[in-house]
Amino acid sequence: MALAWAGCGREQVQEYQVARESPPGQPPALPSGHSDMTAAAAPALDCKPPSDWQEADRGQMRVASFRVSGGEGQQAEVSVIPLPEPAGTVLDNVNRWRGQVGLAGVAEAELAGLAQPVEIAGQAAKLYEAVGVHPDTGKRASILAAMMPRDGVVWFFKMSGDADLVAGQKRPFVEFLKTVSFPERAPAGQPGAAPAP
Amino acid sequence: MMPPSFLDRVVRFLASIRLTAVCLVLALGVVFWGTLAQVEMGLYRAQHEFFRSLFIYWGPARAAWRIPVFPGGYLVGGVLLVNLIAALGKRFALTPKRLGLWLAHVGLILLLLGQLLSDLLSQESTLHLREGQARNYSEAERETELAVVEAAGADTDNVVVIPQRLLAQEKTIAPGRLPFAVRVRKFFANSEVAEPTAAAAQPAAATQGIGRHAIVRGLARATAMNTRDVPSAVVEIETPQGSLGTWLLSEFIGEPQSLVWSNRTYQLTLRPRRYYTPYHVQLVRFQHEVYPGTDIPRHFSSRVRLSRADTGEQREVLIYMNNPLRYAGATYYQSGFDPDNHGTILQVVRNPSWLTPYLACALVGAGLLIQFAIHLWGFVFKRRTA
Repeated sequence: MALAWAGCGREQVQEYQVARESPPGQPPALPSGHSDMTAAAAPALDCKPPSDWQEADRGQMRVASFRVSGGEGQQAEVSVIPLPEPAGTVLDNVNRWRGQVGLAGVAEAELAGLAQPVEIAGQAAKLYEAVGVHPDTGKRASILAAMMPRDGVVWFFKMSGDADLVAGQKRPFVEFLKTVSFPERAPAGQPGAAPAP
Repeated sequence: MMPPSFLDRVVRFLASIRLTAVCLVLALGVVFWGTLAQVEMGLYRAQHEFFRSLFIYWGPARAAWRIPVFPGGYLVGGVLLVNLIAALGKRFALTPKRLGLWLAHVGLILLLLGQLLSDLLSQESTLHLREGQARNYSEAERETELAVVEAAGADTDNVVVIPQRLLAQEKTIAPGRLPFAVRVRKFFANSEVAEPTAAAAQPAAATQGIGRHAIVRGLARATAMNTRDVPSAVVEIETPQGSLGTWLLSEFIGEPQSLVWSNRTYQLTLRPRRYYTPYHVQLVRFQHEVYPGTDIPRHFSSRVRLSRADTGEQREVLIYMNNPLRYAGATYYQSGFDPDNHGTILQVVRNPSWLTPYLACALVGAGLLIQFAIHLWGFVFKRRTA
């Protein structure tokens, strides 16, 4: 009975009081030469989109959002979303993107063959492209996506939309990724730099 | 001669060597089947279904029913434990001649009991720190909890935590400290949160917070060792005056979402389960050395600073492979690191019964040694007197 109680006691609602994370004066000061990483600054980035991309509503999950229009009413959108790690493996995400354009998932071994080298914020990264048919609209659709882990956050860069338009925008998208930079975090107690899409 | 009573027969059965043999064969079966099942189920689910269960269940794919088809680890281990205790009481009375056998059996009983205690009482979690960062809690990555946080002062928070097992029951929970009830409308052990597309007919996941602009889909449980579930929940906040709406909470989102009621602000978040400690661990420096000209790690270590406000203790410790930090009942092992070499991942294990396997093995070893010595002594003595 005692064992059963010990095992089940951890599955009850708990109420407690804790010191707020990163409280002033605690923990002890860092040794010199170490940057202060304790401030929980909001993820932010700088980037320079092509002139023909229109800024779009960022909503609550995106830090940058753009709309791209093409001929014959074709549309595509670009989003930059930071998510706390691990945010799924590369394989999980690639298969999720493939599923969004009606493609079957791939195995881990096939992943390397799909990756295209790109540069994000001066670092090497991998771009994945999925071209298929949108399961809801039945139209040819395409996704270009890359992800980059940094400081406990995984950054997702994604362009999705009509297949022909996305194909034509691939080079601008790759150039856009090169323009991304991450500003230094603001000192503790000051607001983080606003994202500048 | 009186025929043995029913109780005698039961005790004789429980103490029989045949029962021991059957249990060992069944244990072999459970271990073999459970090991193979890890390919499909992954380590954690297989552990749960094969070893931490009374029975192993089977059912056709997509069927809602399952039937027990084989004894699980708890049942086999439990019967073996009873068998050993019964045998010890009935067949191995503590006499000088049988001291060795007696000790060996006590050791085996302790080994089984210790394993059960470890299973029930041990906690495994991880502590992820960036250089300079300090934390007074570790996180269980494979368990989630719903935290309702309210500021209690300038630098303290009142926290009410609802564990995953209660969330999964999808019922209404009314913690005493909160002026409202949390009704779990939907819980997803693994999920995907996405932005709604114009073409998708799925409605927004919730009426408040981020969920107004997101949809959530349930996914199959992650089974691979290098993947983990991303739990989500849709909860409704119910006050005596009525519902305040629904919120989508997910580890995918991470950011806490606000809720205001009676001029008080609460933060809602679904986060990995936290284990708090009365001390802070701060990463001072992470070092990662590779063999020259290769990417093969040669050495990686974390220099951490322990600081405890209630005792004034402050000291630095170097943690590296095979050199964990043992402190206040917890053991911190070097487990991983960030790709940029400025962050460390420590595995934190709390196991109150960690000594029992050592003690059990020492007892079994000593018992076998004594029994062997007794036999050897008898053999040598007989030869001399012959």
